[in-house]
Amino acid sequence: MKLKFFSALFAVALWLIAAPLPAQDLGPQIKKFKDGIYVYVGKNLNSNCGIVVTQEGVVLIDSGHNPTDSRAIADAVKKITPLPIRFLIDTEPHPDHTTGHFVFSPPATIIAAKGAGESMLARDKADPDRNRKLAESSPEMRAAFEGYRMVLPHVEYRDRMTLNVGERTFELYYMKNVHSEADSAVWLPKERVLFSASAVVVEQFNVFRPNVNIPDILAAAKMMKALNPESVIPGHGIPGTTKIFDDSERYYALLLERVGKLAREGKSLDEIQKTVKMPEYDGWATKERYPGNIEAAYRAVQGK
Amino acid sequence: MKTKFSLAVYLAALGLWLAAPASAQDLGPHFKQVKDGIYVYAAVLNEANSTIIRTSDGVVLIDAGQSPKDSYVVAAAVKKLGSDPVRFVIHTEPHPDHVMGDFVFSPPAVVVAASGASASMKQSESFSPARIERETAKSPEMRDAFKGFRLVPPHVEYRNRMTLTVGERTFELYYLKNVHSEADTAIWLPKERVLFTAASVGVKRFGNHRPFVSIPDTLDAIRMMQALKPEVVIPGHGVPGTAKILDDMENYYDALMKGVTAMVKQGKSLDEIKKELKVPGTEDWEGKDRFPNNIEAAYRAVKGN
Repeated sequence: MKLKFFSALFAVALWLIAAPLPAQDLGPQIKKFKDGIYVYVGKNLNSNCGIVVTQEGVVLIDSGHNPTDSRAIADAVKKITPLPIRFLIDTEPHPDHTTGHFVFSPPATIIAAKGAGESMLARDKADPDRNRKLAESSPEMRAAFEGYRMVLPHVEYRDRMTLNVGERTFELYYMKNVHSEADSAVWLPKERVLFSASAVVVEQFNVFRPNVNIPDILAAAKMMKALNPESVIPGHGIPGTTKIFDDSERYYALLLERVGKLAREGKSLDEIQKTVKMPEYDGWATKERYPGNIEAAYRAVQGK
Repeated sequence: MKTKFSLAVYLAALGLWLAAPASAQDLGPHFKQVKDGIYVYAAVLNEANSTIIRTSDGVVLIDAGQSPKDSYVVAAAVKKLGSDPVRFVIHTEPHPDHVMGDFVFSPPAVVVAASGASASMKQSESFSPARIERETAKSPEMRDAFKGFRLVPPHVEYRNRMTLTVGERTFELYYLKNVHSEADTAIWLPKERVLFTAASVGVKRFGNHRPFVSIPDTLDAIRMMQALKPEVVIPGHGVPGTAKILDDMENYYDALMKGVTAMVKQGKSLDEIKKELKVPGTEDWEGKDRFPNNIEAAYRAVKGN
C-alpha cells in the first residue's frame, strides 16, 4: 500500500518535472499559440521569435531582435524543454532577426533563403560599428554580446524547401521583393500556423527599399492567405489571424487608389507625397516610412 | 647533450606523428583521397560510394554507405581523421544502398536531400521489417551493424537548388530530374572543383533505367555538370575520375539514341531493337542485364513517350 502511494507520488512528481511550463511562467513576452508552439513577442514592435518544440529538438523562427532577446529566448527554451535547439530559420537576414545567431549556433543549423548570407555580409560592411555601438548601449547588452561572432546561414534554399523535425513539418516559401533580400514565410501545415516574415506588418507602415514593391507584397499576402492559417505570426507586431492580411490588403488598395488618381491627373511624386493623406491609419506606428509607401505606390501605378 | 637533443627531436617527431590526421592509407584499403580533406570509400567496386569531407566546422558526408556495415567503417574513419562530428549527410539519392546507414550518423547529423526523398523512402519496400530481417541475416557482422536501425527521413528537402555552407567549404546542390531515382542530387564544390554526379552516370557500367528515367533529361544533366568544368568527378557508384566519366556517358547515350532512332525509322519493333542493337565501346561494361531497359528508355524518348 505504502509502495503504491510512493509510486503514485513519484509519478506525479515526474509529471510535474516533465510537464511543459505554462506560458505565463516564461515571462510576459512569451505567448503560447498551440501545443509546443510559443512566440517571444518583441517589445515595441521589435522582431518576434517563434519557439517550436518537436520530439527531436527545438526549431526557432528568427533569433530575437537583439542578443539580450536571444539570451532571454535561450533561457525560456531551457525552461520549456531539455531538448537542444537543432534548427534556426531566418525569416529575413536583417540584424534585428539574425544578430543573435551566435547564441544558438553551434549546435543549431541555420536555414535561410538564397542571398541571406550575402545580405548579412553587405550590411556588416556598410555599418561595421553597429554591434559595437549596440553593445555599449547598456551593461545588459554588453553582457549579451559576449562571445559574439557573425554566423551565416548553413543552408540557403531557393524558391521552396521542407524541413522535417520529429513529428513536425515546416514548409519554407521564398517571397520575392517583399521586405529584404531573402524573405521566407514558414508554414506548419498540420498545426496551421504561419510565420509571415516582414511581408506584412501589424498596425505600422512597412519599410520600402528600392527592391520592394507593392504588387509582390500583395501576391505574397494572397499566397499566404490561401494556406488558410489559423494563427499568423508576423515578423514584427502582435500575432493574430488572417485579418492581418486583410488589413494590409485594404491599406494598399486604398493607397494605390489615392496615389493612382493623382498620378492619372499628372501630379508629380513630390506633389502626391504632399497631398495624399491616409487618416484611416493615423494610429499606425513608424510614420516616417509613409513617404516611402507613397513612392512604392507611385512606382506600382506607373507599372515600374 | 647530444643524447638529450636526439631524444627531444625523437619525442617531437613522435608527437607530430601522433597528432597528425590519418592519411587515406591509414583509413583502410578502400579509402581514396581525391583532394585535401576529401576521402571516397567503397568496399567493393561499384557499390555505392560514401565520401568524407572535412571542414573547419565538422564533417559532411555524401551518402551513408552501401550498408550499415559500411557506415560503421566510414564512422570509424571519421574518428581516425580527428574528433570532428559528422554535421551533415547529403543524399545523392534515397535508395537503400545510399541511405540505410543514416541512423549511424543522425542524430546529431542533419540529413539533406532533394524533395521527394522522404516519400520515396517511406514508400519503399526496402526498409520494411521483413527486408531488414533478410539483410541482417546475411552475416553476424551485418546483424550487429543493423542494431539500432531506424529509418531517418531527411530533415532538409530542397527543391531545385540549394547551397550548404559549412566552415570554409561550399556545397552547391542541384536537383537532377528523371535521371535515376525519385530525388537525385548532384553536389558541386566550386572552390575544390569536385563534383558528385549521383547515379546519373556510371563508370563503364549501364545505369538502371526505371520507367520514369528519361535519356534526354539525363543528357541535360550530364551537359549541365560538364559545364561546371570539374577536376574530380565522383559518381554514385564506381571509381572516381575526371570529366571523362561525363564525356563517356554522353557519348554512350548519344550512340544509343542514334542507334534506336535509326532502327525505329526502319520500322523495327522494340523487341527487335533489343535483340539487334549493339553500342560499340560498351563490350566490357558491367550491368549488361540493364542494357534492355536502357534501350526501352531510348525507345520511349524516340517515340516521344
